[in-house]
Amino acid sequence: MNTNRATSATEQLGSEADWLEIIEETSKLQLSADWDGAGANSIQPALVRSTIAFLERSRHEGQPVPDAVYPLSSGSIIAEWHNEDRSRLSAEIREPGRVELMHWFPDRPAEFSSIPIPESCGSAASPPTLLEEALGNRSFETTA
Amino acid sequence: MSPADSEKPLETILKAEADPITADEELMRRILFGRKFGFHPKENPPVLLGAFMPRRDETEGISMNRRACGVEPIALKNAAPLQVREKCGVVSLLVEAVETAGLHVASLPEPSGLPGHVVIPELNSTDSESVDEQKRNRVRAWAQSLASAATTLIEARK
Repeated sequence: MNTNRATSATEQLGSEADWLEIIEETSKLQLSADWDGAGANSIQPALVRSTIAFLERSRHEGQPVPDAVYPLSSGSIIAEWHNEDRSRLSAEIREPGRVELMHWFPDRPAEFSSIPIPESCGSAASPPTLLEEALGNRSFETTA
Repeated sequence: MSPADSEKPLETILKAEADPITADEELMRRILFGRKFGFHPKENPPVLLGAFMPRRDETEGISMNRRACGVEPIALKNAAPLQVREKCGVVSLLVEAVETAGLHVASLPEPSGLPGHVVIPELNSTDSESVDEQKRNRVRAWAQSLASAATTLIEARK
């Protein structure tokens, strides 16, 4: 880890451009069956829309930009965050309207929860979620 | 391969598929989607969880190859289906990390494939796509444990 320079709030959360990039990349994840050459399920448009709604919600709530968003062979989509304390948060969207969260720790059992994805960002406030708890006090690695 | 190994003749370092799999051996796995988004890039971006999630055809466990059996990372990449070959990357981890996670490595030679083919039976697509949430969660947590212990040998392309 390099801490030679201070990490600004923008660097911590990601800029607007970062969010736009990751949402644009996610919109391209609508893939046909066998996209991996090993018999993968297709990535359904409704799942892509739901993932984007989830990302928009995270952005709206001031969460950091995920480190990666990518499809799985099963046909689901994962958004993943890597924390400086080596814990990792993954959000798997297996069906439209629902996200399965896993907060993984190197030294204790992982925590799991499931939350609904609102159709649009800024909808009624929900109680604190694992996502918010996991990312709320996130610290970041920086590279000079 | 240890420094002492570098002075040994190649034939004494390479292992046959029938040789016991030891904790200090390196296992390699071909992956897709290793790209990290541009946000606060790191020199050595962590391996993603998805690298160790079973592909649909991996009902017997995720596929890996023992480097000690003479397989080079580039050979593993080049063995990918043509339509995804350019995008594929290769990651590796020690057998010790697999065992530390509570999993095991089973030899499963592929007569027409690369040598040293093994599987990790616990990480299979039947469980990762099960309707049983506990089974799915268990696979995800294991896959994450392996990802956190893995390193990238060849970066996957977008």
